[in-house]
Amino acid sequence: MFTTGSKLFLGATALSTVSAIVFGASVGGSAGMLGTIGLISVAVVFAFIAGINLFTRDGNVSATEADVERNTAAAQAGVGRSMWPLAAALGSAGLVVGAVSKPVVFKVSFVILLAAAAEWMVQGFSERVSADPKYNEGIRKRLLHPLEFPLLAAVGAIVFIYSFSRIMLNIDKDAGRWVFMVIGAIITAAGFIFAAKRGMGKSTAAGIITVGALALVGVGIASAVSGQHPIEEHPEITSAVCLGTASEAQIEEIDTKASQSVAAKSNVLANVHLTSDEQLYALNTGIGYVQYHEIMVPQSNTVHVMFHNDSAEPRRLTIHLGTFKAADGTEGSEEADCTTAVEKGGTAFLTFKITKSQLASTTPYRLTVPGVEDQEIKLLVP
Amino acid sequence: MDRSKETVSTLGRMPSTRRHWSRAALFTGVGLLLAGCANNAPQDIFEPKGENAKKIDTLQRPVFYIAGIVALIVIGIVGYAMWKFRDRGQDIPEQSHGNPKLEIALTILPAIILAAISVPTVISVFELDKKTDTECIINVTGQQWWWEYDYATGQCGDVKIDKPIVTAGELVIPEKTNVLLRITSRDVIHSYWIPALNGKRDAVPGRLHTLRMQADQPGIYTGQCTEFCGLSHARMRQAAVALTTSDFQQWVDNQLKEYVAPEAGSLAAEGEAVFTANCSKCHQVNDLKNADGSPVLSDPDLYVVSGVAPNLSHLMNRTAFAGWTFDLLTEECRTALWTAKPADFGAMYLKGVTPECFNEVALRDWLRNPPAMKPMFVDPNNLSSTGGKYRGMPNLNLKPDQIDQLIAYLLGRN
Amino acid sequence: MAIIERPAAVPATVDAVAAPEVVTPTQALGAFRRPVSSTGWKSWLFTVDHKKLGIMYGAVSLFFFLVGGIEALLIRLQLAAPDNTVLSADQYNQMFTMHATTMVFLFVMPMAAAFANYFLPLQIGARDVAFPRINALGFWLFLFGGLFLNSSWLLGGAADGGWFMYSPNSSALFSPSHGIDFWVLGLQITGIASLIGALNLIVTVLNMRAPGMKLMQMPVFTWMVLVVQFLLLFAMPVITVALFLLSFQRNFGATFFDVNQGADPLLWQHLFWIFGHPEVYIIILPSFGIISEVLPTFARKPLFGYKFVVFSGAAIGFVGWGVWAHHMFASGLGPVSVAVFSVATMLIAIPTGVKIVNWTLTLWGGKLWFTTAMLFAIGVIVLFTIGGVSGVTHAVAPSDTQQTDTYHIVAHFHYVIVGGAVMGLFAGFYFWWPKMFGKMLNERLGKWNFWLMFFGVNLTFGPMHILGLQGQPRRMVVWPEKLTGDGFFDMHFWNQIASVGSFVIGLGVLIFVINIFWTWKKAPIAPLDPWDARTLEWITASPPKEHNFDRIPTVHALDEFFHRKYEEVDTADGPRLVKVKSAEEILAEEESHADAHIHLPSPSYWPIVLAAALPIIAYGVIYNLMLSVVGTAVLLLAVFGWCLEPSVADDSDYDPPAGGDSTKELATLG
Repeated sequence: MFTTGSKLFLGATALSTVSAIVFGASVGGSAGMLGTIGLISVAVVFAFIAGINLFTRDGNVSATEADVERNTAAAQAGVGRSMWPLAAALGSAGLVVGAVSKPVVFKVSFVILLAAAAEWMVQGFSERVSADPKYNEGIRKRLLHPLEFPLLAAVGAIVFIYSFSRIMLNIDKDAGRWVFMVIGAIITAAGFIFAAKRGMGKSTAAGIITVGALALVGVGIASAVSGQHPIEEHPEITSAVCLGTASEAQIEEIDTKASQSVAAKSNVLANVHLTSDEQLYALNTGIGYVQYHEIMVPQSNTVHVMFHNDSAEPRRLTIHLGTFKAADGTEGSEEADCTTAVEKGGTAFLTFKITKSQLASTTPYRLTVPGVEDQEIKLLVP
Repeated sequence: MDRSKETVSTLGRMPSTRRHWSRAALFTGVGLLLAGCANNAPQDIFEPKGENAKKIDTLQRPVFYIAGIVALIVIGIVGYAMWKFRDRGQDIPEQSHGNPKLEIALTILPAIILAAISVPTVISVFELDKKTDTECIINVTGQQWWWEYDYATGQCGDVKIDKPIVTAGELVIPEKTNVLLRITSRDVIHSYWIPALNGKRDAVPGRLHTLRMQADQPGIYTGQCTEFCGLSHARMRQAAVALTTSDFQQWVDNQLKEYVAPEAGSLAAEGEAVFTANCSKCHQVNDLKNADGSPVLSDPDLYVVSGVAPNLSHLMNRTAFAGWTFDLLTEECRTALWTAKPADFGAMYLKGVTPECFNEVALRDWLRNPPAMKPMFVDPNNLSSTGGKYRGMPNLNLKPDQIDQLIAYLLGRN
Repeated sequence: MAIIERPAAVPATVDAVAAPEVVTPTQALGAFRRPVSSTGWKSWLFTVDHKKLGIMYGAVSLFFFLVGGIEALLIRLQLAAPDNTVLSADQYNQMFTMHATTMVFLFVMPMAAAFANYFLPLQIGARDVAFPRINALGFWLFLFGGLFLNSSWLLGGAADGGWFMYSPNSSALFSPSHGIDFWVLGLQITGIASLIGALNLIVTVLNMRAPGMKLMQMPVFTWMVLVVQFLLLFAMPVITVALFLLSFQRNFGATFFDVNQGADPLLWQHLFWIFGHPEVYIIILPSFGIISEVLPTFARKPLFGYKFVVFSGAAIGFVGWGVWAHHMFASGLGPVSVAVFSVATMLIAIPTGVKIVNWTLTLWGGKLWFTTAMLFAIGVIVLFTIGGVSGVTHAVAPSDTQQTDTYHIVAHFHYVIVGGAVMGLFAGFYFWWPKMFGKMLNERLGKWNFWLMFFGVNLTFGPMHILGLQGQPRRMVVWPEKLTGDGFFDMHFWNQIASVGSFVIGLGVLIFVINIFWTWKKAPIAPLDPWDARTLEWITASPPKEHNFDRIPTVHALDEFFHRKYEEVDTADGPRLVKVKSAEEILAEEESHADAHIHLPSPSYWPIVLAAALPIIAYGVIYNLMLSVVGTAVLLLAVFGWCLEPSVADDSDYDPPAGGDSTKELATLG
């Protein structure tokens, strides 16, 4: 059962497996990992080829038979047309071009060359299997379709998704929403039409789909060339901003660009209100009719507070998170966190967790609104 | 095929079959009915002691009765059919495929019963979620494997709380007052449940859930964490203690009283030093001072995953410790307290753990080796998943004389 | 492999010198011969026969049933006394997690799959399922997944987060052992089995029914299985996603349920219960189907209100998607959600009630024959009714906040699952054993089996109602003596009764196992139609031939087989049903009109190889990703092998090779 060809590949499999083990055991680090994965891949490939070899019972013909020469399938039928030499040539040329120009050309050419080699090999083999062209074609299909279809489908999907993503990146946020809906609607509508109109020819449907796909890819390429819409950066909110010691520009940048914390409305410990006459008070969840000026915050609890601004000015809620000595005994500076500035009538969440007792800090824990004097809500952390 | 023999033998066994059916029915039905009249298991859900639990009780009792009756009827009909239509050699019955009118009727009947049940159900759901009549708020936080209570400053019923109170295990509330618990968790999901006062509410980290609590009369009402929370889930218990307004005022005053340092040179004073050296990293005793007069501040966030440990300032005002699992009271004193009449309860409870009633064995065992009594994640060689922090209390390898000193010191924390 | 005639090969007129004849090779690809035998161990390992797979499903499920049962007995031993020390807290947590997981995923679900595999094609008059190799893959995935899951016991401890595996307790921070990783990956593997099995059976039912069989003429068991497959089809993807999220959180540092990163742990609960509640119906509906076959057979009249039973089954399957949050009434969802789900939950009691009514009315006016199968079926009506009405008490949401996570719930769902699903499966064993093996399970042992289990279930789970209502919560390794009542409410007493009851159930199951061995060794050959049955599976030989039916039956009525045996004859007293043909006569008639061409799939190596690759990948995810690379290579190899494999085993695969002109066994479908 082990034919000459299969023995070669089985040997190669064994050799590469052993090399992988030796290499993996002897070379450490990420390079060693990479190399081992490479060698294991080689082993898998050889094993796969060996498998095919065994599977096709390759070369199982006695060489001593005189008639064989004349009766072999290869001698009976002419060689068919093939696109693979052309593809292989293109691939080889591309390899050279890529080597001196762009790496991406090199990589694509390499893949083309690999694909061409595989297809050429199997086609060559299948044409010599028997003298029956139908059977030969069947053999080729059975060997290659399980490879071709998934790969082509994957490539198609990648091209499709990539084109779509380029389009979405090119247009701005609001338009994107509409484009998304419209494309979805078109695809759904097309699906309905294909399903409902029985009389429609196969080629008509295929034509429509092709035009649609080409349009998408075309627009995708155009979008990729024209580039992306600007993507916002979300700067971190710093203590300096919250305590009002940062520069105007910095503060403005934070207010326009910082990402907002989100918490569920039902989970807040307290609602903090700044009234239109700039009075600050808190409503404890569950006892909504008492205005508090101090809130108890359990130590080490993650706490959400919602800030409501009813004053005319844009305001932020700042939490003073205490001042602690550093490990080397030097005095630290006060830490703080805050919401972004909120317009009149707006709300914002503030999420915090205080892990140390208020006695450990030299400054009190409290909530303030920068710009509003003499108003604060004490946070009691026993 | 001869099936007559089979039929005869089946016939012969019928009476015992029927007796069994009826016994099973009786068992289930009577069991459900009797459970409704019980008064002797501390966590009996049919023994409501507060407005909210009573609301649930009035809702669920008829449902249980209906359920029991329906079950009895169905089982009765099945039993009757088994006897009546047993194979007595009658003809093969008519191959009828049903009776649509009867079936529609029998579909509508349960629908009506369920519709009748659903109306009071929906009403109760909203009533039990009401937050507009709150008279006192208490933060309840679960962690592996104990409950912490933080009393906010302000009014709690008729009592004004001036400074925050932090306690553990035992929730103390004024009677006849609508208390609103604000429940959350510091690690995994727990569930707060005092069956006599209300149903359960999960404590979910990052979320704040509310639960109404109201007790009609003074007493102690036990409960248990009811959401599986890991290794020592079974040993995470709690109780609610209801006191009259004046007793509650007294309890609050006691919680906020000045720290009384043990007499210099006493065993308890040595215990204070042991406590400061070993226990105070995680456990806070309010106003405890170092030799230089600076406050001794615990910083459990450095050592424990949940970031907290029970506050021990008034340990001996509680009746159990370590997730309200082990009694601080001897069995005799505990039974006396649990069965005390409402009128006597407050005074008895406020006495705290007196030396006569002190269950020293449990606390001594605990201090010797906590994880042996209550499984916790504290193996010092196996803390890589938590970054070196404990989940629970590790064995501090205290020496016997240190334990003596600590116990003397802790006995004064009332 | 079945009999077919092949056209004789075209005689080759050879003129080698001039123009060689165009000869199509007959030699198949492949170094190894394909497995073709119908007997011997290879015929089981590589089989694609739905009957063999059904039997293997059954045997493996039964094994896991015993494993899960031993876990249950250990749990009851631990709880027999207050502050008991049979198990440590850690062991106990693993035990109840694995008990539930094993019973749900490795016993009840696959046992239902066993019956579905074996009897669904027979009941609709098909020769096999639509995708036989996928069917085989499903079985091997279930077996390997189950073994993988249980291998955690030997590799540092099993999962300890409860079968609901709530986050964040299931994160690596709170459960550092590999147990939950094994649990997640094991369930992924068995989940694939369920999903592909569902697709397979749906296609089978919709496409492969015998001529004349309309959907509303299908046996109720087939109907219920069909509903279950749709539930699986939509439920499995949800749990798969949830498990992937958890897996990525535990193994690759994702933060889907990490509260410190702003996650909400309730996400897991929603995902789990959107799967978990339909799962309840996935568990129970096959048993409903089984007893809907058993009751009419032994009452000697058709199921009362066939259409109502079918539609109520479909309704349960549909409404079952809208009630998941009733597992979360205490989770803090807010009053609106709670009210809505509370009412929806009550709604689902209606179609369930319809079934109980119809079964009861099937008994009414019948001629009842109390075989073991019948007793089990009636047991289901009684026990499921108890479990059903206690379920209504939890549908009332405020009441549920008192009951949830107590033993009252444990009592409720064990009445439903053991009293409903498991007893139903046992009815199936006794009813169908003669069809599957040609021998009848001993009825005397069977009665012992039934009564012990029936008493055992009531002894074990009855007292749990009381325990739960007295406030004993679930999942607690110990219960304290100080919280017990006296007299009727003495928890000590009821806990002991429950523990004794669990051993009574164990004894009942042991008798069943003894019965299997007794039947195997000693029982005589069963009659062809021992129960005077009604549906198509009884029209063929026992056990059925490999190709199920010699002639595919043409269906004219619901309960086709019964109507072939009995006819209405007018007598002086009015019309009367008279037996006109025996089963033997019907079978002889079928055999004499055997189909000329029968196509059956050939066995294959690839399903078992493909299935074996997945645990390798899973071990790799836990221990070393290199192993996953190897597993993936095996997986790819198997996929390509599968794709390349022709549907027909070639002549040369037979030993001795089959001649081209003979009538021989061959397959033509993939």
